[in-house]
Amino acid sequence: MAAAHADGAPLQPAEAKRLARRLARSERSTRLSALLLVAPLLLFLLMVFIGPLLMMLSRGVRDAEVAQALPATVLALRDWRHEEPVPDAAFRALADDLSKAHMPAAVAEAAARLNYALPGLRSMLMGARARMRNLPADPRAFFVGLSSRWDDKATWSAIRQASGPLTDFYLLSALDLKRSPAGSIEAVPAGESAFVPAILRTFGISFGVTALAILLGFPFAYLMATTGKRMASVMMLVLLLPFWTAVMVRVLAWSMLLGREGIVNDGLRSLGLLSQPLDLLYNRTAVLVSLVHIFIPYMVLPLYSVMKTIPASQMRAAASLGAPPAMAFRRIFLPQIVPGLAAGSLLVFIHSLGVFVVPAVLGGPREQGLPVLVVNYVTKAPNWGLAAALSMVLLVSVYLLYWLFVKLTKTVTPSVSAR
Amino acid sequence: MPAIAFGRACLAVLTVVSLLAASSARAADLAVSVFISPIGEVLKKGVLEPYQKQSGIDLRIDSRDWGLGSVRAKVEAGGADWDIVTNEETEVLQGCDEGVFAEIDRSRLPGLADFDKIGESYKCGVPFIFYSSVLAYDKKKLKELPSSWADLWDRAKWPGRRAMRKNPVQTLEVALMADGVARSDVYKMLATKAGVDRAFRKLDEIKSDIVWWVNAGQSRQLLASGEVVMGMGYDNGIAFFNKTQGTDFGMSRKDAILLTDFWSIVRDSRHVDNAYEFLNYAARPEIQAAVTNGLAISTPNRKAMAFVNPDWKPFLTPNPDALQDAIPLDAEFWVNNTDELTRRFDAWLAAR
Repeated sequence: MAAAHADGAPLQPAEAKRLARRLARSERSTRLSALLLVAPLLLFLLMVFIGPLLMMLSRGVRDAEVAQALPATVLALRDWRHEEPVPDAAFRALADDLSKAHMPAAVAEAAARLNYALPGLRSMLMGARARMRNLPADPRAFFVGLSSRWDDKATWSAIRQASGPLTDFYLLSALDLKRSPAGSIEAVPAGESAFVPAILRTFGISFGVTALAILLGFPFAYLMATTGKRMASVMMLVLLLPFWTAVMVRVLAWSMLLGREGIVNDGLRSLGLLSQPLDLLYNRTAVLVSLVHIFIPYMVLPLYSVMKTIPASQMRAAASLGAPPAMAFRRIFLPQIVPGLAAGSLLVFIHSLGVFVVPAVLGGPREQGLPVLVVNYVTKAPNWGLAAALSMVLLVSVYLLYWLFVKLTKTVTPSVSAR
Repeated sequence: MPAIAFGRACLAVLTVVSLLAASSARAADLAVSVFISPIGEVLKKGVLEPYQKQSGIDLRIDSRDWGLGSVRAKVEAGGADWDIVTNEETEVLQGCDEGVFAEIDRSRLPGLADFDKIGESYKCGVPFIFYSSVLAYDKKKLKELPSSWADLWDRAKWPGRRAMRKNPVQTLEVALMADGVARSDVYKMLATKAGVDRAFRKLDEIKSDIVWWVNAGQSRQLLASGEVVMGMGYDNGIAFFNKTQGTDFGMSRKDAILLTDFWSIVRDSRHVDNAYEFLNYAARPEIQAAVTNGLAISTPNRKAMAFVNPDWKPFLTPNPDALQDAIPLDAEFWVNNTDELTRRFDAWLAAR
């Protein structure tokens, strides 16, 4: 592309350069003004969304409480190996830290952090501080006299492993793993792993919801795209009406419908079809039904929008060329709606991963997924490190899945990716 | 450290934005946050609104769900816009250690002179109610009445489903006592691995027949609708339900678990004087009695009994000095072990 004057004569190199510079300058000023226009939004997002999000997530790997409250102890334990006896210096340093703790709250936070790793350490630490009038002459005897667990290397290992500044403790916990006192990674005892099963449950439920949404949403969208205008708008209204109702209202409505004394059970009993009421509530079915009901518009709308663009003549052309309906559907129709199917599935899947209200209200113990746990660790048992680590696990697995999904849809439909 | 500075800036902006957004978060002379209903409603009508009328103070009333997290978040963000909150034992204990709540200066609370010594050991809380976790049943539906936690396990005599609290706190204690552990040994036992295993083994026996409840209202509904034959419940709720819904629920107080709720002052409160003035007001016998009358719940103020609705008296937890069949919740134990035992409880619940 050689630059040229309007009359066709080629530009002098110097002139071309000047022109390019002026063009660049004018473009830069447009870009700058565009940036200025979006700057408030960017700043807003950074301050109230991205910043706090990163800050919260960073709690999952940060470990500052112990180092802040017990600096001398952390220093004294730095070179200690688990095979060696606990040095007297460590006892002395801990006594020192506790006796001059000018920020009592910091010790309590450190104690709470240590208690996650070793239940009971909180009381040991707070108790030792409360009884520390002045520096004991024999720190080791003082601590061991309070609790024999101070003589246990596991106690000191827990302190050393929590000395920060970064930690894998919360992330390991989120995956039902922990570090042994010697430092190797091991699984938590059988029967105590709560998080990996919860992660699997969350994904299992989300897969189920997505599959059901495809099963129910596909024919609905197809009918809507192929039927007459009047019928299509009625169907759209039917689809969107519940969409405009608050989720909480719909969930409570389901619980009224499905209860042991609910409308479904009462109806079946009054018809004489049941003698004992069915347990329809607090199980997987109730959660799936409600989630599909809530999220199905996210599946139907993208499907409908791509189906609408496929002219009916294409299928007729395929038929006239000898393709039986099944083949025409598979070779002509399906490849063209893959983008809509992919978008719908992702929307439904990711939304289902994050729901908290539905399993909490309609599910039993076996339906409680990660979001319920995260909420619990943020608001009830305040263990924000673990909440952050669990959120990280959820976030990373969603991204992995998204990446896998994009890869898969690309290989399934080369025509789509080629476009 | 720039990252932390940036984080602080974010937090500051967030605080400002949320302050602007929440119209309720206006500056007031005193901001009190109480548990969500029904206790919150009773506190509003019986304590907070009368106090506002009497003192003419600009009082802001909020409500919160239980859990220390929400209060701690406010204190850490530096904008503690609550001055007083209601609390359970474990929250008071842990929040006190972590500096979420201020230590109570009891010399500024002459109103506590008539209080029983219940909940006295909590440095950051002023007790205002106490109640117990008991075995509840519907008298109309049972021929023979159960009388101990062991009966909750007796499926031969009382077939059917049982209601229990979906939380290791209280539930593990109940399981051990049902297994024959003496009241006084329960927490000693729970502090060992063998004791915890024993509690879970005991729960295993009736796991398939347990219907779990999360809030106390459900425990009553389950009894009323006949979904369960008996279950764990709170004494005051049962009495109140009998009165308002016309049911005939009974309860066994043997090995009941005693629970106390507190007022606490948030650490960075800017209205400490107002807070003490309010706490003195709330401790008055007639005000304490208003709470008791609203919920059929026991009051620590002995003098309040003169103002209490006589209908409630048989249901109130007796004076704690005479409370020989109950075991107070060991908050220290639960602050130490809630994390680990909740995890194990959840894993146990979800396992088949």
